[in-house]
Amino acid sequence: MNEESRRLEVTPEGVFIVGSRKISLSSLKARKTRLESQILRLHREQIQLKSQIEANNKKIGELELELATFNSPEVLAWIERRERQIVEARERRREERKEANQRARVFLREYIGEEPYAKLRNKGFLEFKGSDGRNYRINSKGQLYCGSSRICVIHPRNLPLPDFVISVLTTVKEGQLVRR
Amino acid sequence: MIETTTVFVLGRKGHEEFRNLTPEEAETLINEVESAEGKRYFIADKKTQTVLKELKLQDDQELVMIPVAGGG
Repeated sequence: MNEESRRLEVTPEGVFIVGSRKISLSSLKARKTRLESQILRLHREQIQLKSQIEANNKKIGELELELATFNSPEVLAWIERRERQIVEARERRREERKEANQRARVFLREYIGEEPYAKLRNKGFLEFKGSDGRNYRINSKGQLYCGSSRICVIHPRNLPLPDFVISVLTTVKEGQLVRR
Repeated sequence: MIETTTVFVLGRKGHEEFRNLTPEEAETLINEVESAEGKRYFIADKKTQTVLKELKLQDDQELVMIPVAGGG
């Protein structure tokens, strides 16, 4: 018999070329050993997976117990109460900011005078002289310009825009604008 | 002392107005705001719009605390 042979096999599923190869004693033994070690390795992996599953199940149990305390009626009621407080506080802050802005607008009008205020509102900017003798321009967004150059000024958080305009105007007029 | 001093604070907390203060109360307030916020303020007279170089509090004053703007 040849070392290798091929034949055609016709089945209802189709036509196949079926080959066979002679195997030596050493290859046979090696293949047998390989199969045994593969089976052993898979058994070992299965044992590890089983212990991992057990550990995971234990951990899941612990987490579920902990979660149950988080879902207790007392905790749920506290969460609801706290969330309501946060929403109310946010609303209150928004309302306070709105009122502060309104007060600041009225104040700006009183502080800089009717005419400059009207200029700022209608033209969108106000021109003034700095302590250095140069002409500055501040727009209704609080942006400061000297000629065509924009000067960067930090707008503190929560300071209403009209108050910020007064702050920038005064600082430049007093020559105290320091680059940080 | 008559409680007629008003202090306007243009600060981090937003626009605040403190009315009917005695000059002493106004001075205390100004010092407290400055130390609490750790920022420099101009103290200006609202009527004259002038920045006061020295704080001399009298009755019937309207003072404005204006934060010194910082450049970027």
